Amino acid sequence: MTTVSGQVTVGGTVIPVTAQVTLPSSSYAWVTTATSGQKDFPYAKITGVASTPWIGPNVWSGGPTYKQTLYANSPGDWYVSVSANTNFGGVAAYPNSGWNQGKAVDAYHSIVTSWSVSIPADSTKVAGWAGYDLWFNNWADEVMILVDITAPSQYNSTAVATATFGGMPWHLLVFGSERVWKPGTDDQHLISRATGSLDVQPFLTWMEQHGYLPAASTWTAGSFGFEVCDTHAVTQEFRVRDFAWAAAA
Amino acid sequence: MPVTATLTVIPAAPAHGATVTATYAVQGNSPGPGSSATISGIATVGGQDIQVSTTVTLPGAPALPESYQVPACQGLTFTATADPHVFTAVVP
Repeated sequence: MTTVSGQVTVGGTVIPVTAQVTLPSSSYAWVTTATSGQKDFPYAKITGVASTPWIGPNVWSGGPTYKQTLYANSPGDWYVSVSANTNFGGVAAYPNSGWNQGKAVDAYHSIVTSWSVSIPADSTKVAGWAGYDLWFNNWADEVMILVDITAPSQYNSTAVATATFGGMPWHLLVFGSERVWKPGTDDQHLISRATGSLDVQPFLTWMEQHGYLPAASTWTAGSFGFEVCDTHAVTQEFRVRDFAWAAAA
Repeated sequence: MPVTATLTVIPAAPAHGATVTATYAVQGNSPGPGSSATISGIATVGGQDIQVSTTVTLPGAPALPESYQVPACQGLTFTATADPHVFTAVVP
């Protein structure tokens, strides 16, 4: 039995109440409201990496109004239920599945990856996106590749470069040591996709060639997840339905 | 009569994907009973005072305002509905 607790306020008097419910055993291997930590999830569709993949909640901001529950079965089957109230503030969390990568960028022929996600669509109330967070040179250089974005216009920035990968236009934004690729020619013309695939290697080769990533960079780690900024205090779901990563050296 | 409250959750044993409904109910927060009052007056007719009166029933005190907290439960995330007494959650 699980207790449901609530309270009623009647004319200034608070009356606590409870009820009981019998919930089915969780269909998720890991359910947590923790803000940090991680759990290993061996996963056959992440290959060519240097560690067992893991999943973690990774909440670092948002204040007491940020509430997140992570439900995880595998890097291809997990989601977070989030309520945040930050008045369209900065990124409060990056729940993700991650792994160590560990070879020189130039050692790979291709890194083909695919995703299927669902995120809330109402950009008047939600700022959050799905994407890859890739680290290089012992955590010195960060590259994000965003694939599905819900955000109001105040999150727009000016691109420093554009390029075409896999027949699709992308634009690059730079925030200090963080480089962020977004789909489309600029932030006013995003091409968000809930499902898709791409080859990461051409992004990195192009960045090395154009000075946005040091030449002969070495991979440190990769991850895929959701950066969540705000949901206007409404509980929303950011879900991974499928995921694959095949690094071919 | 003391004011009390209850919380009811249905279904009591939901399956995965089911919607659970939590409903608050408050007992004893009724408007107070009406009270009778006498209104008196004097009419003067040709210098002679005539005492008159009538009775009215005044309304009782209104019910106290009520508010309901979003129910909390490990493993369920309740959200509000159009009815402020009622909250729902989907079982993951």
